[in-house]
Amino acid sequence: MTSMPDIENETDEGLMTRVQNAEHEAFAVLVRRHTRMFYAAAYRVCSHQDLAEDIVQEAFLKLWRNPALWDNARGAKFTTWFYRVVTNQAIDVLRKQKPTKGSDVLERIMDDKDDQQAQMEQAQEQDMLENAIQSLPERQRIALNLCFYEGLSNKDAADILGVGLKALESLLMRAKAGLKDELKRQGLLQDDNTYGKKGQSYG
Amino acid sequence: MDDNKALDDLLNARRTPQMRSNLEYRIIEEARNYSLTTANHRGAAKRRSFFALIWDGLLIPAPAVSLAAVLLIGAWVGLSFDVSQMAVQDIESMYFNASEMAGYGEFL
Repeated sequence: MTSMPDIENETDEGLMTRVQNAEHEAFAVLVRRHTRMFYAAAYRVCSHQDLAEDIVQEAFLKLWRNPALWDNARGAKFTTWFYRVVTNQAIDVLRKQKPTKGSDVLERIMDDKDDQQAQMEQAQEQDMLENAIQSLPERQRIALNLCFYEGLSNKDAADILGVGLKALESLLMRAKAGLKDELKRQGLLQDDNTYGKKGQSYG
Repeated sequence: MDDNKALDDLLNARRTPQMRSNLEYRIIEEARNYSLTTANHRGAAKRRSFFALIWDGLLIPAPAVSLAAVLLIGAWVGLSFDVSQMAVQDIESMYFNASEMAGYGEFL
């Protein structure tokens, strides 16, 4: 029997081989290792906490119920492959959702009592940014998320989206151009090459 | 600062909220429950197939079953009724009826 430290140090691909042999502990290690990262990825697609949690939970459970979905022989990294699973799951969920469901940034901030004024301003700006990103066409938004936030290579992102490299670059360019226009329109990005409301800086 | 740099800085300021609940724990427990449920299903299926195997393995010839049934019914009739007070025809018809009911009629 494998001791705990061994299994904790196992690669994702090694853990997946164990998951395919129905080893629950290997699945638990994978879940503990990657849930936050995939939750963030799902959130960036749908901009909603509960929805993002449901998406990640369903993606992992799908993997546990049918681990043969992952094919080691194809040589894909587990995380790259699972990004595709989570992204597709998120897209499916969003398509079934009513279009009125927006980001929950403001809803979250209203729950906190401390420092409400400053947090409210920050939350409004985050909300505007979130809405600008959400207003992008689906494929541009996914391309931006995968390349900018998830740090995937263009090739991996192109594979996930099922497009060629040139098409991906075009999607990224159009996404950034669309975002610039939208953020300028909202006053978050200014025409005179400064950005931010009231001279605030970000980051 | 050019447009692209400003946009990148703005995009970098995008925040992802913390998970509201202990999502990892929920996923792990759901998977465990699913395993237990399917294991129970698998256990029940195994038990059913085990008994089916035994039952299918019992090769009792049909005439032997019929004969055993006739003997049992005969014994039951013999013990239940006082045949000395019954007409011979009644007793005969009773035996024939019992044999037919047991599927042995075709052999008589």
